[in-house]
Amino acid sequence: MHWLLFSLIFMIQASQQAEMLWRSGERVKSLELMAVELARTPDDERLRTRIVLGELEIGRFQSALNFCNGLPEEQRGLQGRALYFLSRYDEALNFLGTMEAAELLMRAEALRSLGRFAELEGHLDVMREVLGRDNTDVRLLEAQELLRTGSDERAVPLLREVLAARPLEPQALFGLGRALLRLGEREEGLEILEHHRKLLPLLDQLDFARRGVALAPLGGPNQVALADALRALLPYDQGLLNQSRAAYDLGFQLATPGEVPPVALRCARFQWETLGDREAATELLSAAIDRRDDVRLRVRLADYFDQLGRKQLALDQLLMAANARPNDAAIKARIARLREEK
Amino acid sequence: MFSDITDQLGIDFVHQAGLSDEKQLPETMGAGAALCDLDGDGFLDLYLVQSGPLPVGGARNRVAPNQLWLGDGQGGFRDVTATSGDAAHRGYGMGVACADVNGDEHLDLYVTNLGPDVLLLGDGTGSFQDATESAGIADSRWTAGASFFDADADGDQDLYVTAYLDYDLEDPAYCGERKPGWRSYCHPDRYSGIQDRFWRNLGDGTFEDATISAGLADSHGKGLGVCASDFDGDGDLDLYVANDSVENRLWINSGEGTFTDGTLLAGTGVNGMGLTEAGMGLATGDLDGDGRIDIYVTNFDDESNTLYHNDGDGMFTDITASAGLEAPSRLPVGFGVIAADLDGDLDLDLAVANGHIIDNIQLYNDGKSWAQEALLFQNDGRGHFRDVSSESGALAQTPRVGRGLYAGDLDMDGDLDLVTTENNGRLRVLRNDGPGENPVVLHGLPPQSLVRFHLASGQVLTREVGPQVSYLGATSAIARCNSSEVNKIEITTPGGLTSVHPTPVSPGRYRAGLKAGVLSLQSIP
Repeated sequence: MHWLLFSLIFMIQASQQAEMLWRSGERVKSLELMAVELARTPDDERLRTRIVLGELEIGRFQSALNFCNGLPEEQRGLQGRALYFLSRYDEALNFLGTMEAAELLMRAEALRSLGRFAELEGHLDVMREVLGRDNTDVRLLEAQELLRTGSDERAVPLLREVLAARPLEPQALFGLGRALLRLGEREEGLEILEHHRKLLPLLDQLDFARRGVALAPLGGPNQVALADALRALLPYDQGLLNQSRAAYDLGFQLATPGEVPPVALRCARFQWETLGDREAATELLSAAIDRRDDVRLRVRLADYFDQLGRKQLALDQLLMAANARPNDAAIKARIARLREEK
Repeated sequence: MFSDITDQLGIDFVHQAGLSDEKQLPETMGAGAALCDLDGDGFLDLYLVQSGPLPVGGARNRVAPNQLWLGDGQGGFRDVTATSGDAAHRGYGMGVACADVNGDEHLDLYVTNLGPDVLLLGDGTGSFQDATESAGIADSRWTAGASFFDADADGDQDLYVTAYLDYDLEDPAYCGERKPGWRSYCHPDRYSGIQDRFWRNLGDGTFEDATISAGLADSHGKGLGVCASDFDGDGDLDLYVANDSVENRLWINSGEGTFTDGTLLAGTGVNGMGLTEAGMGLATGDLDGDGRIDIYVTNFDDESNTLYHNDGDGMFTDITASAGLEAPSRLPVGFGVIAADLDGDLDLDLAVANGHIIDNIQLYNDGKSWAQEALLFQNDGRGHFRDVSSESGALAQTPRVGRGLYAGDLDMDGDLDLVTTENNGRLRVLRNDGPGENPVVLHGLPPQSLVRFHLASGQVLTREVGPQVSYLGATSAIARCNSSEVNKIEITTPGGLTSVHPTPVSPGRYRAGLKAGVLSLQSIP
């Protein structure tokens, strides 16, 4: 009885410790702890599922696959996901489910990659049924199939529909541009392809930033890099504003003292230039200085105060900056100008 | 089926990447090779580019030079580096291109480096002299791929050189997790691309930088591969540039050696999904037998290599998946690639050397590895491919950090053997163990000419003379046809002139001569 109780307490503690480690960003250690626990209780399907999900999340797909044997039936799709990410598409198709959007899309992509287009057509019927005919992913896949089979004319309205829902969708932009060119609509086709070309580096930057966040989600600079990438796309899609704002906020919160200056400068620029919230920008810089005194932050804050007409506050910041860097010509010049203006 | 005969041949070249704790990006590149007849004896030789310790702090302690091995046509090679003059160059090497740049009928070399590139003039005996300065070429940046081609159809070889990244060896960024052993190589997205260069051959042994005047100013991709071919079928040589992680470029030649960006119209900048990929190596050829030159680009992992089908109207279509080439190439990182008839069945097969750039990639993705197996795809004659890697013997048997891959008939048995370079590893020579072929082989044609072999069956095989660049390298400029029933041969040289040999040609090696629209063939013993 005592042994059972002790065992139960140990399990709960181990589980809590693992979850804490996961939340603190020590995800590999967390999974290692869970694996030890699973070795003691190999029939624990919930724990096994948690481990597989965790391994998938940190990109250890082979390891995820190794834990799949023993998953409950309703979670077999996870085995399909692991195989999919290992590019073992043939095998993945045996496990990927037909009810969840993510797995439906993986199934479609696996079939396409394998060149099994007849099956893809049948799978599209399933997707229409599960996700709905108007689902944007379904529409995009339908359009791509039409493009592949040379039905450009029928693909065009579908692609326009996709772009109405997702203005930055590169597949739709490229597909539409190409289809229009083939249909003889050269001017509009090239215009769309030029637009696609302009967007691509920004989308690549966003993809790169997202990978950084996936690798280390608790890294402040990673979050701010994501925010910057989203911000760069705002001229093309204002709908990204909230995501961008959330990533700046999170990045600022997560920044270590050493990371605060560069992170805060970028967050402040977002507040000042993008949101036009000048008060918020100065408050953010002041808060940043409280966390890490830094000349760059004081100079930027001084510049903002200066532009807001608060000359004395600007001068105060510059004088403190000059204390830290007495020979800095740029700071001296700013001080001289402010004194002159006063 | 291929056998590794490297040990038998005694070729002991081992590439040194100069791997460092700082994980400097140039270490990931590997280096290329030239598989050409450099001493003019009719047999293929090997020029092997070496890298070595990085030139950090301006100093370099490396001793190993680039190497030259002369082939005897029986599959044997001897190391003549010591007598190769300036070919034994000691830069931190990347790639090599090969052509006769000064019209003396001897092949010359252009070697790209992390640091000053060199132009090496051959004297036809296997000895080379550094003529970089006298030729007016000066490029000290990080260059990668290079291709000689006659851009303006004036009879001499111009040069396009891809430049890779603006990279500071003295200040390597830290990438990856900050844990012991987890430091990783940075993604090229961290660095800016730099402008490629186009060197116009002035015909007197000198070159001028004509990048801007030729319309190539907007070439700031992160260029790795470049090849020249007549992609739009108008008789002049266009350029395709594979850029790493940014849009690839197709430069369309006006016919006078000036270029316009044809990428958007052609649809060859991104894959069929509209996404950029990390272009590395290139192969071109008529893969589906329709007479037009298609493009195959090797890319990074989680992308596939991409086959752009030439639709014939200045437009291309990504047909990778329907050609059966997508799924097998999604996991590996593709580098060197050749399009050649490896099984003698009259169509072009594809072989790809793979290997990751990140030596500790398994820490970040346990399904991936630094060393990877090569891939071999067999063409069914209609441009649909079957993955036959598992039947390829030594080619795909052992995972390697593959980079260059080049094809040529080293033992003169009629079939194509392979040479592959490995990053920080040993060069491998793979003998084709097929039954041997009895092809028609044409030597002495202007590089990048297009040859049409008309067979007795009525089939017409379109073949490029080459050289094929693969990844950072060059093969011999020859045309081959594995049929014993060639009824007629048509050759179109850069500039659009077509010459014809109207009567049947028996299998064998021939030196081709072009005069007044007539192709004459002189048998080579």
